[in-house]
Amino acid sequence: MKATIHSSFSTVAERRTLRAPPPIAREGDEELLRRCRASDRKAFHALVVRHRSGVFALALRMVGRREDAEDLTQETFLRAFHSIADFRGDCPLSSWMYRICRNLCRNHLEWNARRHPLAVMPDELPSRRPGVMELLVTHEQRQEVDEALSRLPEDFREVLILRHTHQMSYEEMAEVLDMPVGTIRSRLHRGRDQLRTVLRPQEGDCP
Amino acid sequence: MSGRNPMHVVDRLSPYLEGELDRAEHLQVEEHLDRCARCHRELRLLESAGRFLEAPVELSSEREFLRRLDARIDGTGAMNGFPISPSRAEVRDPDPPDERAAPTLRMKLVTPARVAGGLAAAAALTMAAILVDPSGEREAGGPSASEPAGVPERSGIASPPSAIDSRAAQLARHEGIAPVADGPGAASAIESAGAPPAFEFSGRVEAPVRWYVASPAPDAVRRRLLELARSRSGFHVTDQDEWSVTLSLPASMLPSVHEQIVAMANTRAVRGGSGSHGPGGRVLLQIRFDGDLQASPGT
Repeated sequence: MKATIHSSFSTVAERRTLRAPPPIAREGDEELLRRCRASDRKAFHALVVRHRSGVFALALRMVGRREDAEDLTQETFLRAFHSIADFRGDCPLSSWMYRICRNLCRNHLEWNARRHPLAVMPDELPSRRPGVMELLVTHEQRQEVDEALSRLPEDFREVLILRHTHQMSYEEMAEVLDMPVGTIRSRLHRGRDQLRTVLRPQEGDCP
Repeated sequence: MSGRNPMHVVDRLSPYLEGELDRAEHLQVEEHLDRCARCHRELRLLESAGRFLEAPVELSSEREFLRRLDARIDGTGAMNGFPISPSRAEVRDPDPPDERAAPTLRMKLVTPARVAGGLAAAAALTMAAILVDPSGEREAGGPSASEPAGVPERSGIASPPSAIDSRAAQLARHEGIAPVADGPGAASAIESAGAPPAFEFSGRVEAPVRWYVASPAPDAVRRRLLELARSRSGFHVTDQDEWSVTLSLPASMLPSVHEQIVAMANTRAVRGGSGSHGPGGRVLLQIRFDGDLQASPGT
């Protein structure tokens, strides 16, 4: 009976697919997207697993707190799940997800600034001890970079994160942040200058 | 710029790292870096910071992440104290914060005196819930930002039992743990508290507020809690398990502070817990008000 059904309703290729589905991890985003749109939860899981690290890294370095970043990552994928039918495919899926995440992070930071008077605001952070001259390899020194990053304006912070953490090109960043490449370049350089200034004490001018 | 070395190149280090300088400028910067120790240190600092940002982040359990996500997709999961509603995505322009701001603070408490002997096992962990109800939908069973928490010392106000009970059940479903107030007689004990009024606070809170862990917590959870407490200006860590803070802020902000503490603590406890630190594997936080809160009956 089954053979009859197959021969009536399935092509050979489809039957092969039914018998031996390809390993989900090898499928491209496009194929997984197609399956997601057909309500395949496993395909969505595969997309989540594939992109979670990048989304979480963006959230974590934007908001600084692991718990908030975890929630923002959840929210990003939840929104992606509900909007996946609307994804036009005119940019990589990862860029689309980062854009969702970035918007959520900015909203969260704004919300947090308004409603959490006890939250550590950039201006309240203790000034960094002088003397970070060497390679920043220790945990403490890494924390200093983390703190310095959190003191930068969000416009600079997100560009630095996408450039360094996600290794994005200017064009890719422009896609995620929806702004011209020139603006991206300018923000990256200004962000680095500010990061350097925050990390280092004012020592006067170069001799 | 007087007194500044005209050859100083720190403002060109970023384009230098990106390879965006023309050949002449590039050489000029390199020559300067060879003989200027300070600029060279600045370059190393930037490179080191970049390496830090490139370092991979530590992820939580994949299975747990997917379980939570599925629970939310299927409508049974609540976020842990997070203010974003899980409505349909507005990808390019998510809900503006204004729409989520200014919630009504509704405080609902269960006092030890009102919880009868049926809660013997949980009597020491009497709970209170502070609900943030921006639109009414959260209380109606939607994802909520609040968590069960502690005991009022001076201003005990009993809550509608069904609300507390359903919240415990909701949290239990979400976290995959037993409700806080479960056990024989728990529900009936709460029911016996009667239907109390809900209260809304207005004005400003001028009171020392103390959070403390009411049940043994793993060291990792304690450390994280202490980090959180210490990271907030105005908090005073009094001992390993207790922090206090004197708040002076609009009353509407109290629950958001509380939510963060409770949600983080309970999330951490559940993640790292095996059921050995409190009923259902939860760290329960109690909230105490050592001052008089201006309360007025609400709806």
